[in-house]
Amino acid sequence: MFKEVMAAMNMDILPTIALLLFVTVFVGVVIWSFRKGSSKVYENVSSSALDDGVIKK
Amino acid sequence: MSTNLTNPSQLEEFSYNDKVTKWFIGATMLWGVVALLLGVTIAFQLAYWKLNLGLEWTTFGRLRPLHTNAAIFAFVGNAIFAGIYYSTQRLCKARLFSDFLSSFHFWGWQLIIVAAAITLPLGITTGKEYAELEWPIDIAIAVVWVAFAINFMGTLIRRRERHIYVALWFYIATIITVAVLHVVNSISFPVDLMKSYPVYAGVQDALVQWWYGHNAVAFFLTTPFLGLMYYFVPKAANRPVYSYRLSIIHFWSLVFIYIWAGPHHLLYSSTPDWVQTVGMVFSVILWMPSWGGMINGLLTLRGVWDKVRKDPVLKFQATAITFYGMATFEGPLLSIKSVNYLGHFTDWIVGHVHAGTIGWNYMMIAGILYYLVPKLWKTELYSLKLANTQFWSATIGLLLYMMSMWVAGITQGLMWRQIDAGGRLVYPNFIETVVKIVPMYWVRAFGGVLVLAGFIIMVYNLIMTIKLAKKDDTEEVFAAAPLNSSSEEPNATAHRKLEGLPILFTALTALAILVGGAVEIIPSLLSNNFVEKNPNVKPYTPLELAGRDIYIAEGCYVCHSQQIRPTPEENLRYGKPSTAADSVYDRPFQWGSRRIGPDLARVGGKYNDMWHYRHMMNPRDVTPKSIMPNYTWLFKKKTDFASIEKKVKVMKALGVPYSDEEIRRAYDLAQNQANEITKGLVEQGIPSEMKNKQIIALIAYLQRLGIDTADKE
Repeated sequence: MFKEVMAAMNMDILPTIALLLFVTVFVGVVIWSFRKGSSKVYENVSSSALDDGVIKK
Repeated sequence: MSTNLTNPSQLEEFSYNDKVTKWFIGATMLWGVVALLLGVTIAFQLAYWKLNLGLEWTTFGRLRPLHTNAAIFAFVGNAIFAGIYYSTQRLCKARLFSDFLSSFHFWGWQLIIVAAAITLPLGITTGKEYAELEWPIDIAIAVVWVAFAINFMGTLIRRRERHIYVALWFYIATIITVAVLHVVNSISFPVDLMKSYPVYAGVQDALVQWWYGHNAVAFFLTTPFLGLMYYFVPKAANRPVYSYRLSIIHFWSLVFIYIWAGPHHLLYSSTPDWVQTVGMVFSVILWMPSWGGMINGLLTLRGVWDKVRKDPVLKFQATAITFYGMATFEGPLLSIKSVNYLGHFTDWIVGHVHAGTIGWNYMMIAGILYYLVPKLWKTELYSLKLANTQFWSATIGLLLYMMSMWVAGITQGLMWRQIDAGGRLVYPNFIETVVKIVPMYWVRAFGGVLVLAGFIIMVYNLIMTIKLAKKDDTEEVFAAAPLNSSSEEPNATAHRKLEGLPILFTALTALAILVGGAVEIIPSLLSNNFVEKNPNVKPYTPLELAGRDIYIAEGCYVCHSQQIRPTPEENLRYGKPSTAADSVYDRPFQWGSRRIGPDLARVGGKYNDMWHYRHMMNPRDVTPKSIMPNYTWLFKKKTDFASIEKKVKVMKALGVPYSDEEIRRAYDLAQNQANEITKGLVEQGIPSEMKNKQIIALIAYLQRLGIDTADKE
């Protein structure tokens, strides 16, 4: 069944679907990254990456 | 984090496994020298054909795959593992999951590299670019990769830092995607221990292979290095990344887009137009996240530009990011069909990939090594002056490399398509376009020497640094709060929680990379009208099949394409454009990626057998000034007739329509055809004992190429 559908499918529509899919993902990620309170979280995270842990002598 | 420090009673003590990082650093230095030395060797071989010294094991066709494998998987691979293991432990505030898996990963990977270094010069190859290693080594790669994945994910799960920093995201994407690419592209059917045929044929094999090949660049040479950039640049500059928000957008767009771009290696080929369009469009879109990442990396250096002048770490990193920006500008440019029309199959592409591997990977690795070695051995760098010498040597060498390849590529590309007012080719002899660019090959080789010399200087500098360091193997003890005691963040958003969940995050990343691959590849495997049937195209005869394996073993595809593009000049030079039906029995496909010599898709019948015989003995006999080496061993080594029946059987199992009769008589059929060809040659003075030599099987294959669908007049 799946094979028959694929065989009969007009493939020319795939690039358009792919492009729309990407635009959706991209816009989604951008909106997501600007959610409320994100700036403070990002500030903490990016500064904690500089920290190796406390060295015990 | 600050809340953790206020409650010291809750701190857990732990140490980092830096031993494995040190091993990988040593391996990076060793294999770096090997990979660059191989590159310089084959660069000189193109400038002067005798430099294989008459030996089969050192010919360009066999050494170029070794160079690319050594550069990507040995040199860059070991550097990735060193950087990932060092940074992951610190970003997770946890020791690597297992010391055993770390050692297993290290020694397993080195063993694979040694296996590659032995098999490729012997001509044991699958003939698929950047995936040349035969099936037993492929299985070893999969096993070691799984060990790496377990070791990495285990560390992530045991982490003491709630948030998974963006560098780790890039590592996760690398680990999953490389696993998927390697497994899907390597599926094959073994003939014996050292030979296999892929399950995909022709157009399908081309799509899978370049989906793999392109994403090997994306997920082996790019995403791990972006992760390393997001860790080591802020560390070296001692300031947080310019924009964490940008890094999130960078990550998701890059991972989502990259996987779609593979078909830009197949523009103007016999793959369907819609696949080519997808590949081109996504390649151009890729420009955006690439530059987003570049800008994020460079702007992290805001306010420390004075340090970039003095500190070798920052100097190499800033240079690497700049070249990354340049190479990711050139890539989308070359993916535009009309630019690709000129650039494809020329040295422009070779220059482009080296702008990436030397400019981005080599420079970034140098920066990371200059950072890690003094830190891990608790000392200062031996000589700043030597580091500066390397910087200038490598940068000037790379610029010479890129510029000579631009000139060579554009010159040759233009000469190939030059047509006079009467509609004839201005340079009908391919060799004219080769002779023209040989001076550029000397410039390129010289540039390569500078890049290699710089690397050797760095290795010396680092070894001296290690030698002068105080011997101290004690592991420092660190402390951090356990994950469950760190603040619970009751008001955390869904997104924040997602970032904290490694398994779900991994699944989403896998989804992002699988969508693109699925849409591009599954139709080619399922759809019946993907390849137009042509009843004239018949399977290879048993002898031709044996000859084809010799063609693959010698790496002929490294210099000769088998794909005539649908353009007027190609039609004039090579004949009717290639169709999908032409390569329906080609396992693996041999379309190639560079024309150092002419296309061979329709070479069958173009010259007589004697021409081929003389050409393989000494190409300059029939093509004056040819830069192809003499293949004298083909006249001494015997064709492996004994295995032919097995080969035909495997092909039949893969779906090639051989009859049972053909399989049973495969040996005799091959012998008969060899006798037939030899008989014709003996009349022209060739000794009759040539009939069981490899040259005859190779001639049988070459004379078959493209004749099934050539215009019959």
